[in-house]
Amino acid sequence: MKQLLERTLSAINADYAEVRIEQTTLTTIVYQGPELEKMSTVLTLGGSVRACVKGGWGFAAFTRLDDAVEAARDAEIMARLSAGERTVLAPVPPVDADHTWRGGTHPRDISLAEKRDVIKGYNDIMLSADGIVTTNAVYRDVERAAWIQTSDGSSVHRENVYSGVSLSAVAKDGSNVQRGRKSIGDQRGFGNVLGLEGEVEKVIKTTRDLIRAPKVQGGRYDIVLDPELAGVFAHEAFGHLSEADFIYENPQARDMMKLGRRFGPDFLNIIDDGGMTGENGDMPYDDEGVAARKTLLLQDGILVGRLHSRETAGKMGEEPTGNARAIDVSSRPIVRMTSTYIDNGDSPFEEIISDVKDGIYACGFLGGMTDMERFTFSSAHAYRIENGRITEPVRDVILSGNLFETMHNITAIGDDIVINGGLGGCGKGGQSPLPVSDGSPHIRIKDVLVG
Amino acid sequence: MWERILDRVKSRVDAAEVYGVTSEDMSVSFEAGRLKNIERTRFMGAGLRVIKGGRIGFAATTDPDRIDRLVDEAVAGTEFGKKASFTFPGSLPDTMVDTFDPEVASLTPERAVEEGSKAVDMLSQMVPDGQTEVELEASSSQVRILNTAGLDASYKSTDFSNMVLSVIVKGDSILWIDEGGHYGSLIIKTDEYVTQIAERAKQAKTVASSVNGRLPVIFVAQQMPNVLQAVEMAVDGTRLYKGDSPLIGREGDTVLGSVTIIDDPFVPFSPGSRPFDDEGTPSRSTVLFEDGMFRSFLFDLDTAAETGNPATGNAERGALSLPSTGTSNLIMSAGESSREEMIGSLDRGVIVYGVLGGGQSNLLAGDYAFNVMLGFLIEGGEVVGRLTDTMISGNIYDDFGRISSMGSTCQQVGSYHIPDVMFSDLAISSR
Repeated sequence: MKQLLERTLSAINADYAEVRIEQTTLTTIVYQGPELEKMSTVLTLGGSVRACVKGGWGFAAFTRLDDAVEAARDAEIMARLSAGERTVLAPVPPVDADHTWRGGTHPRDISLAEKRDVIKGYNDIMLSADGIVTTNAVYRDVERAAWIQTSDGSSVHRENVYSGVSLSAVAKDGSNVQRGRKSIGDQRGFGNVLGLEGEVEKVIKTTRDLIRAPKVQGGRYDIVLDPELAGVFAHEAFGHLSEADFIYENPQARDMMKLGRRFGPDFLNIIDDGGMTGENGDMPYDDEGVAARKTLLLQDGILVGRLHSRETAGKMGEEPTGNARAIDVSSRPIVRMTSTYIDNGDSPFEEIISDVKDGIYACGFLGGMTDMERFTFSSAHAYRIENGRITEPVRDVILSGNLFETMHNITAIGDDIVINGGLGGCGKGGQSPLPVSDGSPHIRIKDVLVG
Repeated sequence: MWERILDRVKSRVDAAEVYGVTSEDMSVSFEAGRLKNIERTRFMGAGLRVIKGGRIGFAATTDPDRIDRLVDEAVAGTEFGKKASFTFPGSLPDTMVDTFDPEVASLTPERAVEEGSKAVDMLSQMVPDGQTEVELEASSSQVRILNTAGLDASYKSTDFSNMVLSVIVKGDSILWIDEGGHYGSLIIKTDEYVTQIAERAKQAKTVASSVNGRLPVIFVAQQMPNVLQAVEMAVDGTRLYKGDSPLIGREGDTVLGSVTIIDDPFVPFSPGSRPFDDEGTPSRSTVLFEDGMFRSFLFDLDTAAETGNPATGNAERGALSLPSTGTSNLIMSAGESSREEMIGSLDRGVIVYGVLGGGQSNLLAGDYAFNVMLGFLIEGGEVVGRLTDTMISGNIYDDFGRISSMGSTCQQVGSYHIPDVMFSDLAISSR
């Protein structure tokens, strides 16, 4: 492999070039209701070459390794065609890294039948529960081996192994259909999908709560977010703004995201860390071969850092952070998050709830979008908070608002951080889903619009 | 490679199908007003679906060195795979549909750069306070399906898209205004997109006062696919088979106002067009709604067999995935108004150019909730300002009965051919 990488690289004359080759194996088992809906194994092999000439990039991807050298020539030609003024990449020390996966049981050592038994077991529990009319249960594992070589001397072999399940139960009452769900996934090994009966019971309870829940009364409320939804909020609301590719060539956006600006209360800290071993977002070396690091984004509510590729770091005169990631080898690396979380505060959950007179406890993430200024998030399930106590379930809790205002309106941060992965991931620039983790303790936000 | 896979597996199973895709894609992107990246991707991959003992196995690969493993995995899957109640189709009648434009296949990066540069210069001049992004992408692909029932069919198709975006940041306000199109032939419309973006940017300079209550709303054609999402889910034969479509048992009932929607795979050079679907079933047109009356679900082989219906030629799949049911091109009936007439007719109303979907618990039942990303308040027949923090929500089956006017021409929005649509009153809230 090393020979192929070097031969390919030597075919290019550019300011910078990198070659990546990746082999993946992906297993999916899907139950829908009582039936096995889908089972598939996908085996891929492919590569790509990226070259930079005078600031212009050329990128060529291929699935036949025999095409590697031709792709290298293509990449150079296209880079020359898009050449502008000059190439600016933040310098990094060359690395020679062999990062083997260090989780528990490797999914490839488990038979297809055993994987099937695990997911069928959870599905059967959900199906046999009172009030559950149908289900959706997914098992997935992905094994990726990547080889990355850069023209400035970095050489990385990297393994990532993901496994997880997604469980969803449906209850129905006339035209009202409600769904409880949970997605669990990380890089700790096959053991992470075992012994989840407690989670299954929670999904069943949530579904039953939702079907008897009234629609939430629209209006403005004090909201308590559970760690999962708060983690998504950190990722969507603030994480994407921290990605330097959005701001590095836009003077107005640079002003908006000036380091030192206050974004939230002084007890708010947000961090991105590609080195959290075993998490879904664990990415020890990015697709430019840059080592992961822990990047403080917000410290005491003040903007202190952001996420970079070598190019965005170079152009902004900041340190690279190891956040150039591609969804797969046929896509070019762009600035992405890894494991992003709101750090622990010091408020116990009881205290966070006890101050709320008339509010909503919003849990889990059903869906939603942000354009970096506004956001709309649906919670998977929710409850009213009345006089400091969680009372009845409510459904269709859709939170929306302005990100900047909402960040300032955070009034409490818990001490019970949870990092979540799952089977899904993050989408950006047509590259989706990229494995990431989000995390947070419980947080409270005042005055949020609920529709 | 495709024949080799079929030969290798034939003797080990009762039936087999190879779905192979070869494609080449070229894209040029401009960021912050400068040419940033040129890309070329060559892809070859295949999915292998087999039936043995009445059960399905599936595996897919891009790796010619792992064909033995591919075959083993597909066969292993049949031990407990999904029950197969269908058979693969044999040879096909000849159907001609225009799906391949040589101009797209031969588009050079140089020409794409030239067209993109023109658009960048024009937009940077017309909207100087915005950051300009432009992308042009051309791809050509060949699909080939072989199966043990004797089918060996292939066709070539092309796709071309051009997209223009202006990002205007002012203080903490971020405004995204984009226009674009996706076609089967080389249709470069960047001039038109730039003009429209400049017009929107001008209108967006004024912020409207908040609106609450029920008001007339115009959704421009480009946003209608978002509005129709629930209907598309409901006509999917999978939802009939699973028993959760709200349209079950409603054939012949008026459920969607008075609009007509047809699934039509024969529109020349439309991205959803094809001579046969992704399982080799010959293409055909299907009337989904006729004057608001529900007519038919859409089926692939599996959902057709499971529900006792004929397959409608609506199987779709990626190169490395199992087929599922999906629409080809959706053609909606048009009305008689121009957009200007619609705007002019409103004393007070709203026009919507962009939405963020919020995720809704009862999407399948037709409930929707959109955060307006780019929309304007209309007063006295004129656009008076941009809406901020505004939600529109309701139920599509109720609200299609409130259509008061439709555009006189269908616009091509990807595989949708759809007019602007005005609703007499929808629920709006903002602050």
